[in-house]
Amino acid sequence: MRAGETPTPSRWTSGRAVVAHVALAAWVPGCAAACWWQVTVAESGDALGWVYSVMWPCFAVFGTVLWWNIVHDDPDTVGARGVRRLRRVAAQSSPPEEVALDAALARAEEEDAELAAYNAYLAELSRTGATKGWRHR
Amino acid sequence: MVDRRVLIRYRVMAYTTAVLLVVLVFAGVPLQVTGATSAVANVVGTIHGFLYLIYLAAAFDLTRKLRVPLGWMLLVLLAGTVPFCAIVAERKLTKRYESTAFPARAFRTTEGASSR
Repeated sequence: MRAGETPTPSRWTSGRAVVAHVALAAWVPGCAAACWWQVTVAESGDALGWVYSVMWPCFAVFGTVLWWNIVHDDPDTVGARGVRRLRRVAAQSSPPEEVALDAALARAEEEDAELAAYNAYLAELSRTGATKGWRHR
Repeated sequence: MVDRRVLIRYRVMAYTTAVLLVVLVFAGVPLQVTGATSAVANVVGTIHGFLYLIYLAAAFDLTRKLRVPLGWMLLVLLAGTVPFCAIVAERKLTKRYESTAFPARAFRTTEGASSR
């Protein structure tokens, strides 16, 4: 690698992944300890302890699945950044069927003033976030 | 667009675990602590315990597909263990699902056609 070039971190060494590794490294032994604790609870006479001693290994497996998902996420398509990206893409592009629908809608509104007024009313509600009432005019 | 069955599955599990947890915490545990009977806590606790695993899987599936940020996802998963929290989480996620299923963009072009 040449000087001044920032290396692209591999999926296993990105900041997000390292946090996930640390969390998993704490989570799995924690679940094992909790499992053992519940076995001692069960042996001291509380039968519910047997149930929870089965649950904790399940939680450990679940944490591992979550860890695997986090490490294999594409950071540009998940979470808040992913939503922003999707919005940007959606705002820039109009699928052909939507364009055709928009054109048909515009033609129908030209012929029917009442429909146009009603659609304007709906659009106004959509913009302000109000809900539709029965008597709108 | 997220399959509606993913949402339904999550909502069923959210309400089931929420009701069972309320029964466990506000009936089962008091009965056990006062020494009346531990049968309610044992039965409801066992059922809630195993259904919570299914809740986890359903909530994980939905939050991933709705692109809920990781911190919020963890809160939703934990909500199944705090009384009443699963109901709040269910409302929020259903709202989020609906806003992705019926985006306000559908009205965009009619604004331009407005007569006023």
